[in-house]
Amino acid sequence: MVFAVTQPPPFSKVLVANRGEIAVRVIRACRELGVRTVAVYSEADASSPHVVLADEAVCLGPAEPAASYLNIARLVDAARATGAEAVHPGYGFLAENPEFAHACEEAGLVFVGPPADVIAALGDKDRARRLAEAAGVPVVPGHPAADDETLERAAQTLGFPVVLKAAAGGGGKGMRVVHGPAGFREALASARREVRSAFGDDAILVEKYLEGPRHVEVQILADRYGAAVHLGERECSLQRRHQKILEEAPSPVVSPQLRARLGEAALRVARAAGYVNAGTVEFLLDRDGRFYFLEVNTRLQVEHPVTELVTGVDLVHAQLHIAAGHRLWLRQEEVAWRGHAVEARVYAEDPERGFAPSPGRILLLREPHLPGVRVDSGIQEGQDIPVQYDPILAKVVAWGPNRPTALARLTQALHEYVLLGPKTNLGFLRDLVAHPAFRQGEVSTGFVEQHFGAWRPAPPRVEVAALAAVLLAQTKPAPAAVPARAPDPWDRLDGVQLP
Amino acid sequence: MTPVRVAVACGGWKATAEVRASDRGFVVRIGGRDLPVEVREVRPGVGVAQVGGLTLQFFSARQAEVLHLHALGHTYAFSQAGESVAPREAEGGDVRAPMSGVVTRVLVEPGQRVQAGQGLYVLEAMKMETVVHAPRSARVRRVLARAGDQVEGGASVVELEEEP
Repeated sequence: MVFAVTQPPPFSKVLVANRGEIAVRVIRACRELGVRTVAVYSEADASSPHVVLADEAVCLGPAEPAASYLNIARLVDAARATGAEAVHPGYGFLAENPEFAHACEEAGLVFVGPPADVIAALGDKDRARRLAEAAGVPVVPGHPAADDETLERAAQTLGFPVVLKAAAGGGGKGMRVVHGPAGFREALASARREVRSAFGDDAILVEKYLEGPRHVEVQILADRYGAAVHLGERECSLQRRHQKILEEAPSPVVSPQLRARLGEAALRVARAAGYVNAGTVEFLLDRDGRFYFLEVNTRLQVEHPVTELVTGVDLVHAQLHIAAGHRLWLRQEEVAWRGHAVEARVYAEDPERGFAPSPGRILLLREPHLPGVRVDSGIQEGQDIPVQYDPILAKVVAWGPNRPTALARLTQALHEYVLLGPKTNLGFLRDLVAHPAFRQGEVSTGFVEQHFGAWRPAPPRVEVAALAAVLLAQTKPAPAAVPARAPDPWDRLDGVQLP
Repeated sequence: MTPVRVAVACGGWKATAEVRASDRGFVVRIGGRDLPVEVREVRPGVGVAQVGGLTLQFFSARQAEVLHLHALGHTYAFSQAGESVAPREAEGGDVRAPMSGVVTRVLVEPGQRVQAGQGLYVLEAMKMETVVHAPRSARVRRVLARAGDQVEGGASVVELEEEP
């Protein structure tokens, strides 16, 4: 344990400036520590689980993120009006926005994360790269954010393929792999638009694109007195559209020696930046065990539970205590890893149609409960999944004493996860986990494109199709939902009833 | 009762089934087999079915023409074949929205000539931006949405016509 729940609460009241599963996660952690909570929500989220779970809730405004979850003035007002001492930003939205951290500091609120200037320094990926280089940590060749002409010339110099990235913010937003000069300008324009709408800043940088690397990241914790530890790595190589879908800890290919070197490199970057609170240092790892600094995520990661399950450290508790000025209790030699954890992200999306988002109403929901499985979820039955936000619905995280056991538990949990209404990637995730190459731990960031480019779900068993035929024959669709059409086949179904 | 023919479709998969009432429930003729089916619902949408010797728990919900069904660890969206469920893209002269979302930019005007593959409009949903392209070279007849409009998946956004 880093901090014990028996300690005095780090704060009396915390405002959670987020929505969905991460807001639920943070509110629960606050309650565990005896901290009162304030939820915020947009008009589209009025009856969402995070709103119901918190002690108080404040409506921020309309569904559009700019009017609600990205509205700094409204958030600061809500914190002041409710008497919150601190603000936890979750991930996404304003979590890595230095202006938000600064606005909180100005208003006398504790921002649960690093100081605003550290977020600014590390959030600017060019500065972060220079900082890592200066700290003796290798980086991927690239060119800092610039105008279109300069970036195009830089891409020619680096040699295709190259990857475009948002200079501010992460989460794969704006990321485009460009394979030749022809598509460069269009990809750049599209990346700038996407990034502007996600982060309000359209600066884009270009890097050499490494083929077939692994994405490995190191969790760190640092207090404001200079103490820092790393909690080992997470393997996050399985991605679709440059967003992670399956993460695990430890990485199947990282030896204790490599873990120590990665951890030491991560802590060098953290110390050079004056880092405080929980953070993640991302690396690309090539087949020969060489690693390159990518960026620092100055916030809680979506995939933080896998680290929690193998280290026993509650990262949200740690974040709150560090933010309250408490000292880190854990020394590096006390960090111990036990077993293996895997996380699958459940998204409202259609894997058969290029992972297109699939918003809509959740008609029926039954989440799995089984040994060694944790479900971090932000949804409930009857809820409408809005089109305005990220399609993540929940995370299913399985722990086992070894990797095969963790994977078996995850498979069973995905099997028992029932969600009707929006299309989800649940079937896709199961097939991914079942793939022999994944079972062997042979993954890279190109894995999904390589093995699942034309994925289709298996056709139904004849027994299931027979049941569907009975149910289709038995129930008429609600009249209001039936579009006007010529002869209604249901007219011929008089007398069909269930016993 | 007289048997009812149901054309069952799921994704690209299709089969014709004949549903007859029996003293224990139903008999479904499908794929050349007669499968006895007994259905016991515990609450609406949740039940246990005996299908040809197999016992399975199921979860179901009806949404317009779609029967959402979870059984044996898989989730399916069944419909009666012939009923269009997934929005069809570029059917006729319409270039329809591939998903529900917000039209963030319209890239063409009525009367404009477009080349196959040219971007027509930009749709954003759940923070993902998608450029919707012209399926073929044509002339823009009408634009049915403006930037900022929210559209349902399958809604017609741009109408194309053959060039005169």
